[in-house]
Amino acid sequence: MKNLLVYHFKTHLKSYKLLLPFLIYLIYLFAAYGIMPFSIVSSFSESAGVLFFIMAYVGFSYAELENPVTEQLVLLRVNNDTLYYLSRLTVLLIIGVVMSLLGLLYPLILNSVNNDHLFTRSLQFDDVAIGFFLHYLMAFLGAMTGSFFHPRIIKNRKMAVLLLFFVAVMGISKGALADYFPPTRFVAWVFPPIFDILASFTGQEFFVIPAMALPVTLAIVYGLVLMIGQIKLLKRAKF
Amino acid sequence: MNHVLISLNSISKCFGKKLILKDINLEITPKNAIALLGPNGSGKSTLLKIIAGLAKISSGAIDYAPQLKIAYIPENFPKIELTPVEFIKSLGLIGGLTPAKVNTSMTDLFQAFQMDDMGNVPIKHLSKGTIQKVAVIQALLTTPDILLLDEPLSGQDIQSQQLFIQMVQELHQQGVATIMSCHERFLVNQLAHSAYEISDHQLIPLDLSGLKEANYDVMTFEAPAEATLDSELHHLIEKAEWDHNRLKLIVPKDQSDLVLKELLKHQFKLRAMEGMEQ
Repeated sequence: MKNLLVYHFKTHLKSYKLLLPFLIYLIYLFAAYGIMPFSIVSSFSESAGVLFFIMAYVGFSYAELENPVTEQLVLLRVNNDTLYYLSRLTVLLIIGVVMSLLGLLYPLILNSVNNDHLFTRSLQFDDVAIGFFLHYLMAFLGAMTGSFFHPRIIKNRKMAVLLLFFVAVMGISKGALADYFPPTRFVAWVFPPIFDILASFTGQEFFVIPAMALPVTLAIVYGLVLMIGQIKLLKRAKF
Repeated sequence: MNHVLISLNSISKCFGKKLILKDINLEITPKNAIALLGPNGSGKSTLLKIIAGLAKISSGAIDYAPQLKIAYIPENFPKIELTPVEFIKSLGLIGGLTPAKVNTSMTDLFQAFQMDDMGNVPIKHLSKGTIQKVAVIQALLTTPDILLLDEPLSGQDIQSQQLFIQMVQELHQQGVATIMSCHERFLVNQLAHSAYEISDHQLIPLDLSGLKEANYDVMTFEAPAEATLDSELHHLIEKAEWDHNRLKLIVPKDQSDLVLKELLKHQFKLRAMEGMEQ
């Protein structure tokens, strides 16, 4: 597994495909934390929501980057398809950790530079821990959603881009849509539960764990289904 | 010990509605050296991928011996960002070799294929022939049970081709089975014990006895300025390779005299000539 991860990282980092999403997220953070003070819960939620989109792009471009010939050669060496695909997704999960740390460390550093005045109230350990978990959960969901639209799962790439855009936007806007068109609730579960998570914080001054429990469980299950689903589909589709 | 490594049982393959292979039966045992011939698009590469377990079959069944090590030389290795050293090292380590073993094998193969100077150049910046050498080296890094070769020598110079032939022959001696798709008759002659043509989606056995009788000469000429080869001569030559004004030819032995006479007539100067080792 270690050698596979090193190989994937080398391939990914040399492509510079990670640079653009990294810079975009950094620019977002600069812009979002421009004018003080902020509500901790809402600013962390918004940043985590943006991270979902960034990681969906990272996951998609990562799947796109995979070369079928080198993939075949590595698969023959590993002799374990599941391990190979798991290692690729692990790379995304590691990138998700780094991006989540970025999304959290930037406001923490800014807060400390501003003598604890960045937020409307003083920051607590729970805020940092739940904030990181929230970012990581969104990164996980984004990465799994983006990588699901793999060239071997959806061969029509134009369709894949449009579908990913649609799914990602629906993930965050399905609540508002359901308010206008209640019947859409019946199909809303198909889309990533971004809205469900963010809605559980609306109007809150503190992160309330009981309110988060159900949407977070849903998100973890949703992410795992995408993860296992794409591994199974890729193993079945072959070349 | 001639146990079956891979057995294809009535396999068929379709791409959408297009039938590629139909009811293919093939047993691969150690030391098998099989050549697959047929026009482009006949399904040779697809069959190799099916044997490797990399392509899905539409019907039939494939049985593999346990713990089978399969190496594969693809026809077109991609222009990737990694350097040959990075790629080969990664593949060796992923395959379970120790770093020391990877370094030794890699250094030996790079030296043999005259790639020492190119080890740290990104593969995307290498020539087609050199990229193909990377594809060959990754497959020869360890001794597999089965070596699958998809047009393995496309774009390679004659020296590398001869080295490659010698290495594959050594692998045969060690009991490695090889299945190769190719166009070059001299390669079939040197590397295959049996051959099949994919025709009308089926695997048709070919008689190699005629081909086996053919021997080849390697001839090196110094060409006059702006010289080219006549199209008529092309029919007599198995392979021609230009390097500035030097022309290297692989010619069936019974045509060597004729080719030599013709080229001398056109002011070419013979610089070296030797029989191609069987």
